[in-house]
Amino acid sequence: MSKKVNIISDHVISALGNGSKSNFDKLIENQSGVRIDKSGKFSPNNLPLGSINDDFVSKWKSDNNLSSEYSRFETLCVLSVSEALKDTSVDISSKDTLLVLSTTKGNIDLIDKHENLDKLNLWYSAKKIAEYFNAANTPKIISNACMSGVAAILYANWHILAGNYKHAVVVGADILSKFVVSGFESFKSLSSEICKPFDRDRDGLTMGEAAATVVLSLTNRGEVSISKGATANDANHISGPSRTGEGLFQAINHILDKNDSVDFISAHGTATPFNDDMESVAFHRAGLNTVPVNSFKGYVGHTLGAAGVVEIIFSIWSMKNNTLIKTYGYKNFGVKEKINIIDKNYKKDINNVLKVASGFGGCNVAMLLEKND
Amino acid sequence: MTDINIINTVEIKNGKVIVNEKTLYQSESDFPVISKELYKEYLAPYIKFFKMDDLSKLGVICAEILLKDFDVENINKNEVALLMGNSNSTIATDLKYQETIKDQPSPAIFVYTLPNILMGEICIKYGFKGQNILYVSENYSQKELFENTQLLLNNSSAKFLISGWINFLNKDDYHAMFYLVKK
Repeated sequence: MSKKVNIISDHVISALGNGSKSNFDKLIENQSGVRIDKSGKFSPNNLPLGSINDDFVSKWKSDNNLSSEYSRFETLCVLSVSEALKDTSVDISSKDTLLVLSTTKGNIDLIDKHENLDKLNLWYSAKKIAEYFNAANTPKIISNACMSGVAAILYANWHILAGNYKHAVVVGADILSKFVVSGFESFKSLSSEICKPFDRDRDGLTMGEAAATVVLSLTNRGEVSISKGATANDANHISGPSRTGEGLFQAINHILDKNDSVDFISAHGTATPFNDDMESVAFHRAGLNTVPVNSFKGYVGHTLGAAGVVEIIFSIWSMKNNTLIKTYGYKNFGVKEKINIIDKNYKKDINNVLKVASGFGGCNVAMLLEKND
Repeated sequence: MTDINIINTVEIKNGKVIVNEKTLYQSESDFPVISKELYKEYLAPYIKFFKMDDLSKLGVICAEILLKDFDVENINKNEVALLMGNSNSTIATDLKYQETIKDQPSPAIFVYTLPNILMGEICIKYGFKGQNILYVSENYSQKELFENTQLLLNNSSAKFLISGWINFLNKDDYHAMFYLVKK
């Protein structure tokens, strides 16, 4: 039997709260963590945003004696990794363990704080996180726009299969900032209501923030393992997806063969008109139009470099509970090709999950997860 | 590491373009001047070039010189992958975008505040649809680049790979080191 990398532990902190279980409990209840933000911190407009409770983060920071030198972004990463490592024997201070950070913008909220610009470097944050855990190996960083999280897990998987490490801890994180929110607003990509993935009335995405961690291991057993994955580029446009779903179709086509069954697709589902149409076309081309598909974006918002890790964790919990989760915000079918959008929670044996993500720069990724026997 | 079969290398740094260890071009000017000269010499006409940020311009110029004697049209575009390493992400462009926030946030600049956009630009220019991975590391290390190259080659159907380091801090501090690798 070929070697397989297990996902042995996970943690999410998002607008839905702290911990994978408390996040999943809210998914089961179909509750969204997105709220209208009137703080003016991120936008002059009252936008729906998926924010993490700051009081909780501050309390965690003081309870755990984390130095004030740790930024909000770095604190969330340390928090998530610490929580994910609890109840595992995986030790980042061992040469056998690799730490991987997935993020698009790291400490970008510090750009207007007149701080040392060095702190904006993604490796600066990765070093701080690694220092906290006395990491034996230099941490690796993957920054591939919105596919970063899935790509980082794929990259860690490659390292483990190559025999370079036995375990990997992959943390994906991005925080809300004026920088990023204003950018998406300038693109007219944001919805004034909680996003409506795959809906005929969808009119844009909802931003969120999260930190999420998965612990991967070759030797320790978990309920779910990584079957395979691939990335592909649309070679079409830097800020718009291919109308033929080319890159996403290629990524899926690289990994799926005739013998593979897919019980559930966790889509990228940002609720922009173009993204969701593109995904429907790619799923249709790949012959996956009857497979139940959802988007988790309405629950926590689009969390950029965290999104792939968050959604893989939500998919793992869906598999463990054999429960498909409704697409929050979806009411009326409205994408280009007929696909099977999950519009209410229901029980189903879920043994194989296809996770996909796409992002600026024309990047796409597909990963197949499987339940262990 | 011995498995890596390098066809070509191009390095752009300190006003110099070095192809397979031979200096092809040299200038005392800063990047805006150099990039225009190299554009005229190798890329023109390619209007998209002028809307790119400096990191993407550096990447597209370096890729064009890397591929100039390579028969791009007669290869399967799905079998060309890209792997790039970078240190300062898009810091130069981030600072430019930040300036626009006060007045009118610029979507045209914002889109370049992700380091993988430069890979998108290279893929668009040549139609490459293979795997894309962008990693960030404090300093350039050929050892790390080749280790990542090997990982990508082992895990994709790519026949060719553009594997490189690319960083743009400011008009005088930039570095691109690209390898064209055959599986």
